Amino acid sequence: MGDSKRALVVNPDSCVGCMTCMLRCSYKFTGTYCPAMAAVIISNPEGDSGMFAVLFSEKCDGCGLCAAFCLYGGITRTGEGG
Amino acid sequence: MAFPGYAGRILYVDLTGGKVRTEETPREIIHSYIGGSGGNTWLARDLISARTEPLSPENPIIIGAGPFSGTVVPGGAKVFISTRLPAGGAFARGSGGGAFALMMKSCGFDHVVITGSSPSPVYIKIIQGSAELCDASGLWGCDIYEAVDRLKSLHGPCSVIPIGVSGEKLVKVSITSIDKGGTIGRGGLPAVMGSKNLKAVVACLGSTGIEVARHAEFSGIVGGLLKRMKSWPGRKMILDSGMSLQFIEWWGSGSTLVKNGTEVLSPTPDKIASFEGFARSYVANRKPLGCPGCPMADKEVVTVTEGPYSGTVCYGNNIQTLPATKANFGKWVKVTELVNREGLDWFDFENMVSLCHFLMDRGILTPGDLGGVKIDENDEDSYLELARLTARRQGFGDVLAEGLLGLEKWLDPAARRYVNHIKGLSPVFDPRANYMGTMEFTQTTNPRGGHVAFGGSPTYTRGKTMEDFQRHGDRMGISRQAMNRVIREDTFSLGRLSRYSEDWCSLFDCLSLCNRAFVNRFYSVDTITSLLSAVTGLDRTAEDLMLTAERSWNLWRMINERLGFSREDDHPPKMWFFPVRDGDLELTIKDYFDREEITPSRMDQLLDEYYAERGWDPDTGQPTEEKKKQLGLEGL
Repeated sequence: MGDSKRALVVNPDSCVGCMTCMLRCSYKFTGTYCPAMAAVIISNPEGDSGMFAVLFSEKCDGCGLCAAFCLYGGITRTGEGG
Repeated sequence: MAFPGYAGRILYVDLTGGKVRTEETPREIIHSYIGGSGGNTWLARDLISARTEPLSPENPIIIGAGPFSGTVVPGGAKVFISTRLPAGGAFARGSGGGAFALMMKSCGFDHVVITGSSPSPVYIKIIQGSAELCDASGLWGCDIYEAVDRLKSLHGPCSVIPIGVSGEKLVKVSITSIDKGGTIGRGGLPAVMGSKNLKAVVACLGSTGIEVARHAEFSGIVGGLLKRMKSWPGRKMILDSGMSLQFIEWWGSGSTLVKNGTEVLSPTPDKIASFEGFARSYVANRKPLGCPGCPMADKEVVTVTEGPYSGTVCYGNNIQTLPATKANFGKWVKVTELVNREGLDWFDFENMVSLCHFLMDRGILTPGDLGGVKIDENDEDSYLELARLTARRQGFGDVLAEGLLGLEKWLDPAARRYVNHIKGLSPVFDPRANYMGTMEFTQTTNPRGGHVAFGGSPTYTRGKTMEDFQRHGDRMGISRQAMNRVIREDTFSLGRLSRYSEDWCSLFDCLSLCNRAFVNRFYSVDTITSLLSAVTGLDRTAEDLMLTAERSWNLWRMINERLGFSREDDHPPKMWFFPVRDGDLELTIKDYFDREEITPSRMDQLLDEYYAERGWDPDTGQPTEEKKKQLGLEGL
């Protein structure tokens, strides 16, 4: 994990599972909207809690697109409000 | 190489032969129907005939997504399912939120066409470029929530359209929920799936990327939309409470009817205080869920955290009359959870419970008629028992399982006038409680029946001026020439306006755009034209798109003509002309301005105006040959 990735802050309470981050991230890598190719992964491991897990794969370079386009404050950058 | 905005292929699944094949998405869909519900209707044109019974193997289930789904267009996540529904017999189109459209397109498919009937329970697993039929015998008997949980744990990232026990038992008053949260298919889609031994359709996360032809242009338009949506003052209420507070507002304004729509539920001070407590609990225990790419997350999971129902969880927002009469939060969640798990359509189910209660009060039905089951529209336990019985077709539940048409047939002929339905579906909005706007009127003309997925017109709220109507007309792609027919000095033709309200929403349905008012309000036909042109690289015009939306609607109507539907079926329920008691007052249907009463003969005139604006034969209520030719539908 590089320094820039550590600057991303995950706020699971705020994530609504809309996958906007995955769509935006995948566009950067593929030039198409292809969530399977995103470096950020939203999953719903906690069943009916409505809470989502936000994970980053090895290819994440910490560019912050996910945070920039997050509609709910589920991912922010260090120093940004949640 | 797929066309920009499209996944590129259609998946065909024959459950009888266990065969799967794919074809390229036809250019005719892309150019003349866009996709989504339009593409579904085009694909159905050769599959539905007068002999296609709803629960027969021949009845297709067609799933469709439009070119906006799978991208980041705000609200562009809807999936559409078309089939002939058993509750009313219409070939219908239904829509739902969630990630199914995105997942389906990620596997490379714009549409899925399912026909036949499996000899044993199966589910369809859509994977990259293909599909597998998987044994579902271990899932048979699972409710909707259990089926989703088990399939998601098996297949990882995916979206699931399951059926509950109601679908397995061919219950006509059934519905399902995509991933537990996005309802779809009221009128018995689950029964159609059950008749095919199809427990679920699972769309896995595939590796197909959706291309956008002119991305810089696309990003600019999407960015502008998101900026407006995120700064809209109403957004906070949507995120905090979803659609639930809307129901509370209706109730508080005296717009909720009880006793089979014969009385207004009076908002007395003690009831208001009780209901406010309910609303506080609701908001405090709600976690919003969002469809892909949508900034207006109005879906939700609601959890009871204290009291005897602690730990109960429900998805969706089925707040209707019940909490307004009892306002017991924990027990309401329990009722909603059970109805959703069983897969029953709340609108029709509640309507039937209220009707039976009303008929019991009048002595028309007796406890013996109901086999001893308690029916009380104000009692949660009554709903809990009836939901279990209906989903399993046990006792009196077998009567309710047949839906409003079945119940009507079961009743003594003299009692049938009290059944409130349009083409077998319960209307969602009763014009006696409010007024006759497009949302109320188009429930009668909707080929599916009393359903309210359509609207988007200035009559949503009271108090609009003719200038507002003109502004909305421009937004909705109504030509000035047509608007001159709609607006008449200080009033308007509801029948004529309704045609354009339907076409406007037909356009949304072709694109995969959500029709919720708080999404719809940010779009104009010019925005949509620019957005679609940027996505596909095809330079479309606003006129072209509105013609496409009209074509899709007309073909839908024509398919239902094959099934025997006509003007006769567009008549409003007799109950709409039964006065509603509001204290000492008796309410009847009024027009938008509260100037005139809408009588049955006035309703007939409104239908005449609607057919005239549609270019349909006023006697049959069907597209004329001239109209078909104008839309390129001749010979179909």
